[in-house]
Amino acid sequence: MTTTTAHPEPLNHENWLSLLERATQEVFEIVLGCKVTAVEPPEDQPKGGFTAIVGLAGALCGVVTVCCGAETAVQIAQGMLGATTVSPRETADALGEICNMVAGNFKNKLAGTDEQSMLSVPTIISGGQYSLHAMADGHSWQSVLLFMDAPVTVRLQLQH
Amino acid sequence: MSTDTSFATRAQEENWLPVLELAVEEVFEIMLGSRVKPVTQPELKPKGEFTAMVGLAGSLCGILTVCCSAKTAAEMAKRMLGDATVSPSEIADALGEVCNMIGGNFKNKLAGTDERCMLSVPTVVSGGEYEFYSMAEGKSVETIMLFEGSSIAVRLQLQS
Repeated sequence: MTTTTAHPEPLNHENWLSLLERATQEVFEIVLGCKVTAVEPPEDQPKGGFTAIVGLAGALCGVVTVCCGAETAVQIAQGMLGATTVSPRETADALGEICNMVAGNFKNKLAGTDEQSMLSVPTIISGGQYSLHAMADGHSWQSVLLFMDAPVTVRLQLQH
Repeated sequence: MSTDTSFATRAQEENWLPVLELAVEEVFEIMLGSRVKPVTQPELKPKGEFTAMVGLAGSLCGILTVCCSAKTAAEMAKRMLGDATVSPSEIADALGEVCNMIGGNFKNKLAGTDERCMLSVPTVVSGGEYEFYSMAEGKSVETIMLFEGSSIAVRLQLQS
């Protein structure tokens, strides 16, 4: 992941989707040794599964979420822990850590926000049927990336 | 709401439960015109059909959650909006706003944290079937409050 601020991206919303995708790809490549590619969102997004949430506070105010099916979340945890079986708690923690790293990597790519913007502790929701409502009413970017042929949705929602 | 920062210091974490309860009581009194009081019976823990969360980042790092049943959340929204009927989106927004204000009020009561601790955007989860995990593994403070005969759980979980 790029941690240098030598060539940070300006605060230009037009390139934020590609920044978010790049931030996610780098995290998956480094942490899981896996290349993920952006795809068109599937028509039917499955309900439930796992959603990790990290809040951004300060110069950049909003939330980053990483959402995937239960099976995908387990595969992510197995990849991170190098284990064949993982507990629900380990699965949640792994996805939370991925989300945390994606948010941190994205934030680092933005000029002027690194020191002025902080991340909250990740939280993870899992279940069969739930809705998530972030009270961020500004710009929103979403990318669906394929991890082991399954969709992982990464979303950034900002406060005005 | 009191902004006296001499009320409690960051170091006096054993005082945080009454600080949290006072923060909750003040928000309910001002925003909903309702007096709430803490109860000690753990069996009164609410059905968690709605959970609002707000992240804390900076000198205080963790997450604050407000959890209640769908019926209680709707009642809170009606009180806040002064409407007889409220939509699911309005309910989520109302609970998120209450959580946000409790987080801010609590933070304001702690000496030395106000300027150096920021809140993220509130997020609200709703549904009949979900588990909630926080990666905050430090001190946890929880209170159950009675609002119009129904229970609301307010929890602060801190990062180590």
